[in-house]
Amino acid sequence: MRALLLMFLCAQLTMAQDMRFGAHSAALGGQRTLVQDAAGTVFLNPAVLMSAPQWSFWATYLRPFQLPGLHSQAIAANLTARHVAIAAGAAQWGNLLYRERLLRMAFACPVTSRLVLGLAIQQRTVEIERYGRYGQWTGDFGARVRLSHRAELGILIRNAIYRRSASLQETPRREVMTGLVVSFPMHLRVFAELARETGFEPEFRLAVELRPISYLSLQAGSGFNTPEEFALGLSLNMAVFRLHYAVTSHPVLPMTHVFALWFGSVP
Amino acid sequence: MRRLRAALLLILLWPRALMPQSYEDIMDRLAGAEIGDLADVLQQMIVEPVEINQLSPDSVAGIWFLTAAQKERLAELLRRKAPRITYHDLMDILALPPEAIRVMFHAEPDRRPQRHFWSRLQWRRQAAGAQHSTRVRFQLGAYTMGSVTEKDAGEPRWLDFISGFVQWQSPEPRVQLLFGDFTLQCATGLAFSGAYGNPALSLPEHALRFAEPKIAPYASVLENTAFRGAAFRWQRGAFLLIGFYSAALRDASLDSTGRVISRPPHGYHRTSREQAAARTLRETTAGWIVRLSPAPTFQLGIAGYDQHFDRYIVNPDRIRRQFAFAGQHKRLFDAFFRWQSRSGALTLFGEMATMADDRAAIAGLQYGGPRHRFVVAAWQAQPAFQNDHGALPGERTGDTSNQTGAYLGLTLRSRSGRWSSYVHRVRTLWRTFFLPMPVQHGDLALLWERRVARGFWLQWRLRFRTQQVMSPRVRLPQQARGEVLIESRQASLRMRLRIKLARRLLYRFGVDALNQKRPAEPNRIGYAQYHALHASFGRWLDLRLKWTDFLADDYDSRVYQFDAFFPNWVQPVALYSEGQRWLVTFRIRAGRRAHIAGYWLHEKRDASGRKREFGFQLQWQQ
Repeated sequence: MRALLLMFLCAQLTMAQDMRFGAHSAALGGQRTLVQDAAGTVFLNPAVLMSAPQWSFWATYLRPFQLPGLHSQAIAANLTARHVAIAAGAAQWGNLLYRERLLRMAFACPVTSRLVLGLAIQQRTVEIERYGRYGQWTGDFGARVRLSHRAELGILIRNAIYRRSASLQETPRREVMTGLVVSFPMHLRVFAELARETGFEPEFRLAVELRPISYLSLQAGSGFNTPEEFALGLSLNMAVFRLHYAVTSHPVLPMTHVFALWFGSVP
Repeated sequence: MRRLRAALLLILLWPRALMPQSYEDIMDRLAGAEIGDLADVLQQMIVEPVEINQLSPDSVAGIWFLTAAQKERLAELLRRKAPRITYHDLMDILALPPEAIRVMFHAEPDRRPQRHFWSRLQWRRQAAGAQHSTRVRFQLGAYTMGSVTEKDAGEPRWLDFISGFVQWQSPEPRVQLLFGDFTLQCATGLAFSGAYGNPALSLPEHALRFAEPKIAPYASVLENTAFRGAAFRWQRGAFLLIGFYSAALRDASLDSTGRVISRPPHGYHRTSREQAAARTLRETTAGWIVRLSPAPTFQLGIAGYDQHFDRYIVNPDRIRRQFAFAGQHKRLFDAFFRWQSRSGALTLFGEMATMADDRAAIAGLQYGGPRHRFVVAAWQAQPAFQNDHGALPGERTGDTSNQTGAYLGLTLRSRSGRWSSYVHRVRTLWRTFFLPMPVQHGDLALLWERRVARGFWLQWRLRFRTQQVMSPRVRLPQQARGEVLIESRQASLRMRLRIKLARRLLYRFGVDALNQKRPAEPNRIGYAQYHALHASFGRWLDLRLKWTDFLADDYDSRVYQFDAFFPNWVQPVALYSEGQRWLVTFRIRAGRRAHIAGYWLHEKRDASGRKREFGFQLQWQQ
C-alpha cells in the first residue's frame, strides 16, 4: 500500500510544481495573471503586488481532492509602497511520505505609468521518505499592463529562470500565461486567461467576479482543457478582515475546498 | 479646401488611415503575402501616388507605413517647404529607395540635376550557410542606375544572381527609357503582374487592384521573373504606350535529349542538380501595352506579347499533369478597361486575355467612401491559359491557369471600430490526377479593429476555411493511397494588441489559435502567442525584442507570424511542432546618411532542434 502511494506521489511530481495556493485564484477557475489576493499574490503574478493593500497577512488551507492525509497550507505577508512592493510567503503540502516546501519572495515596481514588472524567486524543497531531500531554485517573471481605465493585461512566465538540480533529476517546465481583465459597471469583472506549459496543450480559462454589495463578492470560473471542470467562490469583507472560500470540481476526483483569510490595511 | 480634399483622398487611399501601424502590422494584416521587402510591398499595393504638396502636416499621421520618426520629419518638411517639396527632399528625409518614393508620392520634379546615391547591403548567417544581397541606386538628374546582387544560403557561388538597369525619365514623366532588368504591371495583372503577383485575397482594401500600366526597374532578388532587355514608355495626353523587348535566361531542367522537363521558379542553385539547371533556357519576349483615357474617369487598353523559348518544353507527366504547357512558343493578347463614377465612389473594371485558344477573364466592382467599402469580383481562367508573367487574384506570378473564383468583401467604419468581412471561393475546373474532379477552397473571415483608448489598439479576426486536400490515410478502390480528396475544415482566431507603454516604448501582444478537422482523422490544433517590446532612443537607436511560444500538431495546422528581421524587411514564419523563438533586432542611425541594423534569432523546436541565426544590414544614402 505504501509503495502504491509512493508511486502515486512520484507521478505527481510534475503536478507538484503547479500546486495552486489561494482561494481567490481557485474560485476564478485557476486564473493567476491578474488576480490580487493580498499577500497571497506572492504565489501568483508578482507584478500584481503593486495593487495589493499597503500591508497584509494571509493564510490559506486546502485538502487537494479530499485525499486522506494530504494537506496543503501557506502563509504570506506583504508591504506595498508607492514605487515598490515586496512580499514573502511559505507553503507546505504533502503527507507523511512526500512533502514539499516552498519559500517565496516577490518584488514589483512600476516602470511606466502603464507597466508594472515583477519578479518572484522561489526555493523548493522536496522530501521523500527513504529517498532523501532535494532543493531547487526557480524564478518567475510577471508584468501587468494597464490598457485603459477598464482593461488590464497580465503576463506571467513561470520558471522563466531556474537552477537545475542534479539530485532531483528534474527540469522545471516553463509555463506562459497571458490574461485579460475587463471591468464593467455594477462591479462586474470578466477574466480571460491563456496558459501553456511546455509539453502540454494550451489552456483557456474564463471567469467572472461580481460584487453585488460592498462586503460580498461572488466568483465563478471554468475553462477549456483545464484540470478543473468549474469553480465557485465567495469573499466576505469585514473591516480589515477578508475571508475567501472556493470549491473546485474535477471530472474524476472529489471536489476541493479552499479557505483563505487575510487581514491588513483597507485597500 | 484643397488641403481638405487631399486629406480626404489620403483617407481613401491609405487602408489604415488614422490608425498608424508599423510595417510588421501591415504584413500581419495582409496575412498570406510573402513579399519581404517594404519597397516591393508598396509597389504591389499602392496604385496611385499621394500629392504630397497638397497635404497638411496633420494629415501625415494617417500614412500607415511610415515610422513615427519618418512622420515627424515629413510633417516638419511640409511646414518648412510645402508646396515646393521635390522627390529629392523626400528621399532625403525618409531614407527609402528612390523608386519607392515615386510609387508613394507625387512631388515637384527636381529643378536642377540632382545626385542621389542609395545602397543597402544585407548579410545573414543561417543554418544552411551565409546569405547576402546588395542593392544600389544612383540617380543623376533624369538618369537612374541600379543593381541587385544576391547569394542564397547554401549556394557555392559568391554572386549567384546579378541584376541591373539604366533608366532615363523626362522631368514630367512622359517618356521613360529603360535598359536592363525590369518588370511590368498593368490593370488586374492578368497579363503583367510584376515580380511577385497579386496581393493575398484578404481584406477589401488590398485584395484587388487595378494598376496603371508601368515599367518598374527590377529591385527583387527573385531570379526567374524579370524581363532583361529594353523598354520604353511614352505618354501624350490621354494616350500611353509601352513597348519592350527581353531576352532572359531562366532555370530549367533538361532531359537527355536537351528538352525542358521542368522550370523551377525558386532560383536556388545549391545542389549539383540545381546548378545544372541554372539559366539554361533562353526566353525571348517582345510586347506592348496601349492605354487610352478618353475621359478622366474612363480608360481602356490592350496589351500583348510574343514569347519564344530556345528549347522545346515537354510535359513529362501527361497522366498527372494534363494541362502543363508543351511547345516553344506562346502568344498573349489582352484587353482591359476601368470606369469610375465622377464622385469616385463606384469603380467598374475588367480584363480579358487569350492564349493558345484558351481565355482568362476577370470583372469586378468597387464601391466605397471614407466609411465603407464594398468589393466584388469574379474570374475564370481556362486550363491552357498559362501566362508566365501574369497572375490571377491572390496568386503569384505565373499562376494563371485552370481556376474559377469569386471574391466579396465589405468594410464598414463606425464608432464601434472598423468591421471587415470577406468571403472567397476558388475552384479548379479539373483536377489533374487519374480521376478528374473539382478542387475547391474557400475562406470566410470577419475582422474587427479599433483604437480602444489613447495609444491602445486592438484587432480580432475569426476565419473559417474549407479546403479539399489529399488524405494520406483514406483509400478508395479506384484511387491510390494519398490521392483521395477529402474536405478539410479549419477555424482560426487571431488577436493582436498594441499599446504605447511610454513615449518611446511600445508593447505588442498576439495570439493565434487554430482548429482543423478532417474526416477519419483526429482534430489538429495550432497555437502561438507572442510578446514584443519596441524601444526607441531618440532618432538614433531602435531596439526590439520578440518572444514567441508555439505549438502545432503538424505542418498542416501551422500558424503564420511575421518577423521584422530588418526595419524594411519582414518575413512570414511558419510555426509548427512545439517550440519557442527569441528575436532581438536593432537599428542604429550612424550620422545622417548611414543606418545599421541587425538581428539575432534563437529558436528551439521539437521537430528540428535549436537554431541560431543572425544578420546585419548597412544602408547608406547620399
